[in-house]
Amino acid sequence: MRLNYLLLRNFRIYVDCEIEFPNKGNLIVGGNAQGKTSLLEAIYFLSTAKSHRTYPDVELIRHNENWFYLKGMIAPVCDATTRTQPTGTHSNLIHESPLSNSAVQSSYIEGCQASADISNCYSTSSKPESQDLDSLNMTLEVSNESNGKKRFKLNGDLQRKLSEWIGQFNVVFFSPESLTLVKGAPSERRRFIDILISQLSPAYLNHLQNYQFALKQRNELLKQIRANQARSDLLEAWDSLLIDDGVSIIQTRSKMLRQLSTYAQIKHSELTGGSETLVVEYQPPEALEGIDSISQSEAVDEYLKALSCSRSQDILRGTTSVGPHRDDLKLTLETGRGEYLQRQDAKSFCSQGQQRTIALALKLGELELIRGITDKAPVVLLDDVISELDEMRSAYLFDMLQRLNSQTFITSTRREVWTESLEDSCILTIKNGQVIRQHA
Amino acid sequence: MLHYPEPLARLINELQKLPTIGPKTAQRLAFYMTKLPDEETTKLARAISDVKSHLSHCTVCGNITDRNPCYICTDAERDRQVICVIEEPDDLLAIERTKEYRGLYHTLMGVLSPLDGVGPKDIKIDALLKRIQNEDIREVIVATNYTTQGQATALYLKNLLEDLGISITRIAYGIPAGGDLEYIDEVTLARALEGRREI
Repeated sequence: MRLNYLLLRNFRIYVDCEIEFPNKGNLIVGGNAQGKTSLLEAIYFLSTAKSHRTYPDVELIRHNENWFYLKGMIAPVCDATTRTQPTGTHSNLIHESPLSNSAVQSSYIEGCQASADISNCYSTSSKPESQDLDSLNMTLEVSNESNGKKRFKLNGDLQRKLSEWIGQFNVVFFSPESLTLVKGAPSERRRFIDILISQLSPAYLNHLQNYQFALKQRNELLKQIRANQARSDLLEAWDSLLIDDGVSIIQTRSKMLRQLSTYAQIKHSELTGGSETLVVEYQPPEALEGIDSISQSEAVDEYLKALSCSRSQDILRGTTSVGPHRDDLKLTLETGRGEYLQRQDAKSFCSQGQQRTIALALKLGELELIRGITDKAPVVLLDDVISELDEMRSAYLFDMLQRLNSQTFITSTRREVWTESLEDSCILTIKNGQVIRQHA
Repeated sequence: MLHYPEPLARLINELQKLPTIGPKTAQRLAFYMTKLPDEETTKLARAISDVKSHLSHCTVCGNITDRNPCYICTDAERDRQVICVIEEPDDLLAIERTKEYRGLYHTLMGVLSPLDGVGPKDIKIDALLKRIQNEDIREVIVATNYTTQGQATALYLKNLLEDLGISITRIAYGIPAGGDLEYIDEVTLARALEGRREI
């Protein structure tokens, strides 16, 4: 995927800024608080309809304004066609992925509780260019008003359903905040996998939205039962609904995480020179342990059992304690072999440096997974990573991006960093929400 | 600021409260009415007020009717052993338009939704139970909407009625007639595959 053009209006520090990105590598340089991260955030928003940070969308609107507007033009460069790029490194050099390359078009979102109220309009319009891929080019537009109204247009058409345009334009964002993937609460990891899977499986987002709505209803009912305002036999109906979507969510998460685990493990071993092995595991709540490895009908029975076991406790607490909304991602580092094998939990027992490497491996795994399934290399956004990674790791990262032929946006406060790490690249100097210089 | 004469402002304000009518449409309708001959506006006003005074809900099935019980409940030609359970009276019209269904109806006047404070006592479930006990009912077709609440209501009815020795069915879900697979959303298509049947 290639983002060729971006327009930002009233987005954070940006008033009205139009930028073209003819190059594969885009090095964004500027002082603190000049709009570097906001530029990446805008690109991320075009892809996912949310900020990479957990801000309310209203905070993205420029101070004293009541709306923002973003527009991007995207060329879906397939791996096979990347050779036509002027400096194209052969993408064929990439190691064969162990996974299937089914070209699935996809869609996602995690904070779907809110999404029912979002009428998003992204617009994609084809760009008049004489290329074979011309008809595949698209324009995404998004506007957001301070009253919370989001509109999305894809090729000029208003999109009513989030699931219809999410997944059109895939990005992978690595920033200092990515460390929360390892260190943060389980909700951070759920957010990560939900955003990832929703881009790759349209049905997943739908199950997730239904599940979250049914969960809200059930929790409300639990409170009413606790207050003797409702009878507990009503729960059965909501239980069946939860299980219906819940089992699909569990099975999709488990399947996708197995793939992610394979990729992340490879990346991690390359990053660390093979001294440690990263194991990524799907971890459902205790009562549903092992539910991802049994058949659908058995899973339904197990789930039902778990829900009835926790019923009285759920009523007491007024909240549902069992289900995929309590899932986690278990990250473990293995060192040594055979009887000397040691396993340590990444969250509690790893050093800051190890955790950072794990976060990067997960993000690179995400990149490979998206690429494997959509057949297109996602756009990579790297926010201030040079300060985060040592020389060896950043060299590896740049080398990998080079091989993948991913369009990359990297921010830094200093120019010297950029040496000649990336081919076909240019430097954009940003000052106070304006691109003041752009040169190769 | 624009000022309408008071009676006009009042009419626009009232029209705006109607579904699908926004300020622009309300203004257009109101201005149109100022141009109508007197007898036309009187007819319109009377029609609106008659809707409330002459119509009521059928005490048996909940259908909107001008006589009680309604024409469906009193129709001797209909299959009196089958009840189709629907959410709202307008769903009845949708099913009637098919001209395929010859049984009776039962309107719940809502769906279960704890978030909106709606429980079984707030919709006409007891009345349905009473009908099943007092009349000779063979089958209940649950035709609530395929929304989360509609599904929950259907599941609740199933649990409630399954021991009564009657058949409980749910309307099918899937591809619309004349539907082109290419244009059908993934979720509907996936459900349609799940619910496939032998031909």
